[in-house]
Amino acid sequence: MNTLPIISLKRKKKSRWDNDFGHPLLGIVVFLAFVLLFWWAIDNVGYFWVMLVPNFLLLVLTFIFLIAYLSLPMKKNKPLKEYPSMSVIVPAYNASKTIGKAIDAIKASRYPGELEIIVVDDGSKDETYKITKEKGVKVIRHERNLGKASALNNGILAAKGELVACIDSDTYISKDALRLSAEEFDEKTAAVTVLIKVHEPETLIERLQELEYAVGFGLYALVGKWLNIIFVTPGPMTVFKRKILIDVGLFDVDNVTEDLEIAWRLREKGYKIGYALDAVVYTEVPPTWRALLKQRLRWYRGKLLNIRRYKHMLFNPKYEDFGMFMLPFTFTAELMGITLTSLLFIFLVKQGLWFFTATQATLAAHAPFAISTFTISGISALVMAFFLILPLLFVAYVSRVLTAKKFDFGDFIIALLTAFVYSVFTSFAYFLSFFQEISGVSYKW
Amino acid sequence: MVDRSIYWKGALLAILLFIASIGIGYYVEVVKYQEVLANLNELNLEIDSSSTILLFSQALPNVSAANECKAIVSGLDPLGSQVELLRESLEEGKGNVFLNYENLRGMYFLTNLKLFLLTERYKKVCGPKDTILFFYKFYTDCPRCAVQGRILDTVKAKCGNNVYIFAFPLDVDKPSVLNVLKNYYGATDAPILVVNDKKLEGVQSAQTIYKYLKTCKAS
Repeated sequence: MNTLPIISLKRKKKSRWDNDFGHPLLGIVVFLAFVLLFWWAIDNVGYFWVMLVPNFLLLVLTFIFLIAYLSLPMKKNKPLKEYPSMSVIVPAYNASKTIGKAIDAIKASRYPGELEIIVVDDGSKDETYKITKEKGVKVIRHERNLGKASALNNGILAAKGELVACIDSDTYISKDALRLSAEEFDEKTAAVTVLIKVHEPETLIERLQELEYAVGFGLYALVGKWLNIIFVTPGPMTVFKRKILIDVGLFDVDNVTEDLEIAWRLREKGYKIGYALDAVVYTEVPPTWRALLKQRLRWYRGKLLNIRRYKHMLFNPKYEDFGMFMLPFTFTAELMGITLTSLLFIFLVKQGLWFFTATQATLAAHAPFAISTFTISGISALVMAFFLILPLLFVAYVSRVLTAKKFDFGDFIIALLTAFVYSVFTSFAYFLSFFQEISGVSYKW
Repeated sequence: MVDRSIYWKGALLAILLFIASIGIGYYVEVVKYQEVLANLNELNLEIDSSSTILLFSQALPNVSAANECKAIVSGLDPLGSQVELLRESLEEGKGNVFLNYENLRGMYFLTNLKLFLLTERYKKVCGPKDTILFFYKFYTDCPRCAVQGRILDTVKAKCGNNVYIFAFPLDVDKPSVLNVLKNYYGATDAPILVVNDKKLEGVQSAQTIYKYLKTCKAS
């Protein structure tokens, strides 16, 4: 059994309505207000122009990232004369299916410095502890589940390395990921993120996430490093300076997205977050839409929660591009998600009412059946949409080439599906997270 | 050092693409508009031509009424399908972003009304011909009108040029002569059919419509 100390990091109990807004009734009122507002806008301005506002913002952001990418100074880091000691912390909860492979990947690392591996078994009820012990690595065992942040914190406190690499138990690192991450640090850098790829994507939902990760953890992260706007230190793998992590108070055990919160806290304290494009890790992703929605609700609600906590950074020139660009960008994403989903909702309701009445009349008059619809956009709107979608496809292309060195017809189809189908899903997740947050639905880890 | 010009460059490029796409969208609409306008002018020319034929018997002696009617009907028959195509184009125009088809629609409804009146005149001079007036809603969502439209399509498909169908919107007031028509038939709520002067309110089945037709029957 473990001989390492376990600090008491217990999550505060949340009541159902324990949030800044208070009552679920408010959520319903706000929801109805949104629907009425958009309904009014559609009737008076038209679907097209209402849709255009968030899409124009998206276009501006897309071009900024593309131009920034094309302006990037490309330089490779040189190998270090001496590599700092590194501790790998793997928090694990019921991870028997993946933990063995994750540890094997870490053990196979080519890290030139001193390396220790610590697995924190966070009260698993499966074979996680047994498998980990068999792998011969250091294990801290929680008697009961304390949450990922607590597991990470205990691992960090027990670690001896100058750097700590926090790696998810379902993530498999490439041989040079640790070394390349270590090379990315400079004096001001507190954390280094890496290129996260989807592990062996096969199904449609995995391919869609593969492209999403290529954009988010590939192109956008690379540009984010240059602009110093990286806003998350992702759970699959991020390397931190141990001392700085302890100085800022470790991970927040009361946060649903502790990886987002620690990044914002580090930025608040004036530290930089780096990125190593060539440091590749492969992670398992939600295999079903239901599991994906659950994950995204947690992510997006975490973002909302932290936006409120760090609102003093928003539009604050002290935090440079992070406060003036990145945080407003995340707000815009929320706004777009809520707007687009509201429009879709209204469209479906209107279409449903239309279809119901038309069917009634068809049956009564023995008329021939046909799918009737009302007009929402004309040919010119479709032509415009085609042109406006081009930069998004270009982002998909650049991201895939950057992260996978290829872009074939299958990738093109996935990019189209991302633009037209997956975006609806993520918009819905934003929408739902917003109203869950307002109505105070309790958090689920 | 970060080059902050990327922000305004990004915004500028987005605005440029945005303007370019608006320009292309606008061009597509203009091309379509011109096409509809040209078809409408052609239709008006044909109607004026057919109307002029009726003036022959009034103005000149020894003009055979039978020949006159034959000449009119040969002009009227193809006009029906042209009117239908124009109506479809104007329906598509509802999704327009830039160009308002209001004037074009006004011209179309006026043309359609002229065609209806010409047909009524033809009936008096030349003999029986079935006409159906269809009052629907153009701007307001009207699923029942859509269903009635489908039923009329089947009637037209079966009866061909024996039946002329004229559709007029209840929620359009321009040109003002439309109100004269609406008031004449007391049309207040859509859909309404007037089959050979018999007013029928609500969605009517094809069988009901056939009952009031003279030249085309269900079986």
